Amino acid sequence: MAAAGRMARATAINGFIVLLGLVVSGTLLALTGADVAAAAEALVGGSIGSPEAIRQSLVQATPILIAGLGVSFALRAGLVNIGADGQLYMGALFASVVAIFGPQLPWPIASIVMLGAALVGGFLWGALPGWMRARLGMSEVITTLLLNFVAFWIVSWAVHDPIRDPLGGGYPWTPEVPDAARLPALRMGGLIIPSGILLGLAIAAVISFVLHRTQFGFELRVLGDSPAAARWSGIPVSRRIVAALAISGGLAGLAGAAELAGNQLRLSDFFSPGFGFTALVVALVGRATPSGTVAAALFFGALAAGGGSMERVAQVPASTGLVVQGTVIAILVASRSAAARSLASRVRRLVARPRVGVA
Amino acid sequence: MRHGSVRLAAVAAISIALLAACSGSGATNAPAESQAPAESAAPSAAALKVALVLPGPASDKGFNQSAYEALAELESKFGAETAYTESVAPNEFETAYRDYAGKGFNVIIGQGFEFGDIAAKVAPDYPDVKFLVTNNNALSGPNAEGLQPKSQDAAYLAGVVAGMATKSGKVGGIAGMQFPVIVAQMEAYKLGVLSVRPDAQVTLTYLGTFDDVAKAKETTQAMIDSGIDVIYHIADAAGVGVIQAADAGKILVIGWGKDQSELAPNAVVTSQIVDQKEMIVEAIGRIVNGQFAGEPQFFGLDTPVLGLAPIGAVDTDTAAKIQAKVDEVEAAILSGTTEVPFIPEPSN
Repeated sequence: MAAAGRMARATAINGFIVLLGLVVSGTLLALTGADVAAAAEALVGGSIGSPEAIRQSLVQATPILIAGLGVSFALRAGLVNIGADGQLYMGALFASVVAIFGPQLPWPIASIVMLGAALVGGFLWGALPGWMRARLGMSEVITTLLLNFVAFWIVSWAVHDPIRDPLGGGYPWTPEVPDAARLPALRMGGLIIPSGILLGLAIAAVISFVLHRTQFGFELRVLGDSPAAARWSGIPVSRRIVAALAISGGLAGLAGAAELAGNQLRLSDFFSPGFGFTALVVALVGRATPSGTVAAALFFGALAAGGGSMERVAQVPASTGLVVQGTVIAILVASRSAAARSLASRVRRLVARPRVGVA
Repeated sequence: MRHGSVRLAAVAAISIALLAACSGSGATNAPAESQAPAESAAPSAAALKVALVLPGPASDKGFNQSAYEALAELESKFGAETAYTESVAPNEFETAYRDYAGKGFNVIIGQGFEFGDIAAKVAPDYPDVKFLVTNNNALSGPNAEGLQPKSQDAAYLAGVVAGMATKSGKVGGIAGMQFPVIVAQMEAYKLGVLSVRPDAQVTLTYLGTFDDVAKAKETTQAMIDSGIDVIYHIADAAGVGVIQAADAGKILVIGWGKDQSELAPNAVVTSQIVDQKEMIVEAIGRIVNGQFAGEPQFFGLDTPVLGLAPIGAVDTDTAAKIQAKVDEVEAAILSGTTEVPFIPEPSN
């Protein structure tokens, strides 16, 4: 009963925060002289207004969801993985090499093999900073960040030379992923659901299970809450660090394959518009929990699709979508600060009726 | 932690519910998809709605801006209603295309080769919408076509100018990346030089970047040091570095894109014009006149898309002599007597 009440209150608070974010963004928009009503209508219509809009929102949400789950996973072990973008690129590189240049397999084997390759690519690119942290004591914040650049330039070189599409007029990108490896969209009662998002939801469920129902997950959480306690209780800390970052990287790599085989179909060196960094935001806003990450990714996916539509319809500048995004994030984060909590409790005390139990 | 996850799930639930509630009020405008076909059935000038999708910022003073500037002309010339989206990332290409097509736009233009895939994919779903992709020599379909300037023809003319203007007999060319369309212009430039100065030494270099001004300056200086006295560039933003270094080194330089003489009036002998804006205006004009071909459209020296800027930076006698030769070669290209080959790979 108490849980239900708490949930209802949390729902109301979060709804209010999002609304506030939209109102603040709308005010900023109005100050620039844009047609706010048209912009709002486009934002809604372009994100959830039609089956096609919903599909686009889910397409936008897919890579940031899967990579965001990876970032969340590492966060639970107390590791900040800023390298999801590079891991995503490595995953997409492995995926494209295997799917496009490897033996041509039938569906769905081709898809599975491709996703496996992406997992391996991201896993290795995550294990490397994990090893550097565990064995050499190098901060994963620095190493994962810098490895982004290494991965990017490896991919850039690859798409300019060895894996460039020979029929692409010399354009620096790979050939398209063959049909057999693509992630299809499923029709479900009038809606079109990209299968990548279902993959993301399945991964969220698996992570939730691993974190809460396995010893491995328990050890990671102990490591995240208190490294010292983890060491004293005999948890092999070094190995767990490597594993957490490797799995985190593997998921980011998988996100690259999902984007490749579900949306862009070709790898290029402009493949990621910063998926890995949006994934970090998604993980933080989602408080590093699987369900929170799912919610945040869906929200940011809808915001991306709707924001694009807003630019097109209301002819507001390209950066407006980002302003909306940034404003909502800022308010969400601010609302969780200690100051906001104490303010909230004061307000609650002012309006409170006598209540039983703890809030 | 637990608390947070519940909260976030709630954010999503509430926001979706909220947005759904709002969308009800917007429903009158929502079913644009169903209105679109009726509106675009006969794309007359009155109903012309053109959308432009740009891969970069509309104010980049180059590739994207030139296409963006076409929109104003489409409005004044054809009474078109226009819209554009800038800096669209590749993961949003399809979103942008379907969004515009569903909103009743009857011409959608993608600025750059890379939009070819998505145009080919989306076009069959919107038979009443025409899809144009610039700088694409392959796209074709009942309602899709690529627009490709025959830039190598103008590059050949630039070579003629360089061959006529050089005193040392050594000329250079500096380009950004080794894309086939770029290589073809560099090679055509070389052929143009040799056509008027068979003993000339032509040095061609690729920077590997379109925006490293410092590297472009260094490369230019190295060429000047080796005795080269005319340099041609296809290096977009980096090309400004080529022009500046050539100006400082007191040699001649050939601009690219639009007339770049104002950057260095004493150094820019001419510029190879490749006008993205004119190409779009021409292509839309053909659609308005009912001449949509459904196959790649090539724009040559007989269109305002391609050409050479007036000769400058040399004395008037020399300028007149060069201009006369350019006119002669241009006539030969247009009549088919001279055929400029498309050479996609560097020859040396």
